[in-house]
Amino acid sequence: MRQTQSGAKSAVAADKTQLHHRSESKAAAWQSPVAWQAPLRSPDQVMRLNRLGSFHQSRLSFLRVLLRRMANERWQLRRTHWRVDACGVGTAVYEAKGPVRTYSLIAFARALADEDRSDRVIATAWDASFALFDGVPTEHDLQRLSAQVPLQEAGRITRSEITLSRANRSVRVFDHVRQALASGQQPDSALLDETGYLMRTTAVYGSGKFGALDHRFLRDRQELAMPFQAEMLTVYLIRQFTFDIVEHLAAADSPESATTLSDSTKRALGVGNATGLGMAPFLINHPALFNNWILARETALQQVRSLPQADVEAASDFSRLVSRAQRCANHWSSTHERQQQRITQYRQDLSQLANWLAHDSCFDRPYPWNAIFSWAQEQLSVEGQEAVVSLLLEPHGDIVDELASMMHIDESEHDVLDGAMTVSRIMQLVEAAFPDALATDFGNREQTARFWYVSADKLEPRLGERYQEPGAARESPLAAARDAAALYAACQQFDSHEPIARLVLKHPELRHAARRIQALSRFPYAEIQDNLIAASMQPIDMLRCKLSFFGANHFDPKSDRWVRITLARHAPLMDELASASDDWIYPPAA
Amino acid sequence: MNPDYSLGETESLVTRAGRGAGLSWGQAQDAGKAVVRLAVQGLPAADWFAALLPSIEATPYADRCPASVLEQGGVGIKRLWEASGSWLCPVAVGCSLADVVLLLGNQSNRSIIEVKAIRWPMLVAGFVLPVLARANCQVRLQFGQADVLVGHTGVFCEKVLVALSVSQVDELVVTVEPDAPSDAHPRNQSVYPSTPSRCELDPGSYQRLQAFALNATVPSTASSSMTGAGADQIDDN
Repeated sequence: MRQTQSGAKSAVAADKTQLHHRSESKAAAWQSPVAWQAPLRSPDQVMRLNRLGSFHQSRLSFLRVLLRRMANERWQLRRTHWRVDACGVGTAVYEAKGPVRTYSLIAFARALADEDRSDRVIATAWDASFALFDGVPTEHDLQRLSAQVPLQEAGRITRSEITLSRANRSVRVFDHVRQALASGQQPDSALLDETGYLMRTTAVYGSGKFGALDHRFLRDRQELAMPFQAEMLTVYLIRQFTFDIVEHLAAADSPESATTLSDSTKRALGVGNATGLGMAPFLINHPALFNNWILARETALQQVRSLPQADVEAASDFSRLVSRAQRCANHWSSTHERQQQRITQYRQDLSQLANWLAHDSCFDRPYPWNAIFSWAQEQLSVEGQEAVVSLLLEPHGDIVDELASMMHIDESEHDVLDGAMTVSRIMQLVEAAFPDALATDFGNREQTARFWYVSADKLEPRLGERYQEPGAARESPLAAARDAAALYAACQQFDSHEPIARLVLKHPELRHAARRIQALSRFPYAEIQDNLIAASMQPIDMLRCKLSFFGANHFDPKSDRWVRITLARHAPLMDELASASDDWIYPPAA
Repeated sequence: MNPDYSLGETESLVTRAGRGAGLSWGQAQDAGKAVVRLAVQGLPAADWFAALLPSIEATPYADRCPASVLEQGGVGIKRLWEASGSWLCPVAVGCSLADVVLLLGNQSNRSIIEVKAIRWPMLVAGFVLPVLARANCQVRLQFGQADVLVGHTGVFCEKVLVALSVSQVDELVVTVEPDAPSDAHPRNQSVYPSTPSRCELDPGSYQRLQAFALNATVPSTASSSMTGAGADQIDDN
């Protein structure tokens, strides 16, 4: 029998004390009348860059949460406006009508020369630009936004707009598809499979950026209160635009012979995304929120592991999804050497898992899901282990899905320093949260080789080499481990019973570190427990972690700080949402 | 009408400008949040902060912060807060006041702090707002013609805005007192009748904030544009 929601919710209150005191021993549990509950994985295990950088999308990923909601609530999605010329220049509007409110994606398409196309954040022109409008736009709104949205960062939007975005065509794929459709043919599926999208976004801005509506004003809207729901809605609607624009151009090229994309071809296409360092600091700047993302995922895993037995349907679903995941893994490629190795290992891991499932009667054992989890921990690479975590959640929507509601938080309640806290308590918190930092020699240049900063031209986060480049004096406050160690050292100069208020008055440069360490005591999964300025640090791990929560897959790093991914690949089309299966992320064989 | 900005944009701009003027990151972050808290009360706090920035830049922290706020060796709060230099920065005072209010919390007595020679005293309100509920207290700020009650539901006063927009006063009297329902207080007039969802900024203030914010960023070079962001120039797909 599956565990109930209340059981899942009770785990939300889990704190570090519980983490340490819960028994791992199943043997003991079998002798006890009280059901055994799996422990939450410790922050020390989970919050490592290597593991966070191996996360996969899951049922709790934001795109999947959004599509589930839209399906359950029977949202009506349709194109309401299409005024695009034969060159592909014009305006389109897509409407997403929910039970309470309507949102509209406004798209501005242009004809961009190939040489002007760049994924860089410093680009100034794109094939298409978008805004998610709060409601149904009037002609006046379209006029106003046509003068602003194509400018992106150089334009201004208003509280009527929730997101601002832009996308470029995938040159090879888009032109091929256009030509194929114009000649009445479906495109080469192998080429589409290799890339997985027609267009890729290079930024999806929300949360008040460039004048948009602040996220705090979305908190009372059930459909957008969760993190990045507006951004995911934007991406999902952009996907439909990419189909429409390529079909439109093919028809303009050859009205007599042109055909349209088949539904199965469309389904296999998502929206690409090129992501640089801009998204990495988010995980550091929003510790309470990040904690809740991780805690929801870990709680889901804990609840699944704690199920004493597997019902036949769930066991069957799991085996089926492992098989599908194997097939998906074969379609995942990367030119990045590190990722290539990981993908190779990941394929072997899945193969090993499938083999083990076929030959081991794990579903007949007590706590079968925990058996699978434990086996994976012992046998598979970190990439494989985290894939198994995501797969374990799949057949358990009744337990897992509700946990999505804990993934947002009003951070304003948690970013205030408690000046009354004693110096000794602060030291205890540092010792608990940053044991590695206290053992790190920050006088060693290898440990402080990098510095995070914001670029003057685009106000984008970047990573510099401290001892080779200028600018370290303007470092952003993202070196949490180093700063915690500095705070600890300063504490040693004060009486242990004194309030921290005195220390931060004398050392204002440690105020942010003191505030952060206090928050960490309430949020065990808030901090990445690696030195984020070390020479060995791989920023791409932070990008992948965040993107996995978005629901991205097909991670294809282009360097240690820039990655291409795909969103909504294999997702149901707009008119299929209500009837589609929620396991679309692992599609069946074509 | 001045251009308006989202609250997130305002907080980010104020934070970077504060840092660019010489505040520590922690104080600059608290200043960003404080300005927005006051902005949603309808107060032109971002304009006040912009006006404050040149003096922050020109004065070392040690000269503009309270010399001490706590009695030596204990948790008692000093009654007199003075700067080592000629004026007190409302950011330093606001941060320290928010810190010590939590030390005074849940007390039945009222405590009085006399803050000498403080610039833009009304900014202090934005720093203490978030700690009042936790400390079960409210704070009264009296300076010049202004008599302001800061409770955890907002900022209340009888005076018009001009009384609050004061660039420097000889003395700010802060009274930390046990919490009372705001509707039981005679000065229960909110400074603004509704809650703005945007922050209007005088164009001159915006330019000044932008100029200081630039000091918290690193100018790009061809090399850093390439390596710092990590992307290549070529779209190969």
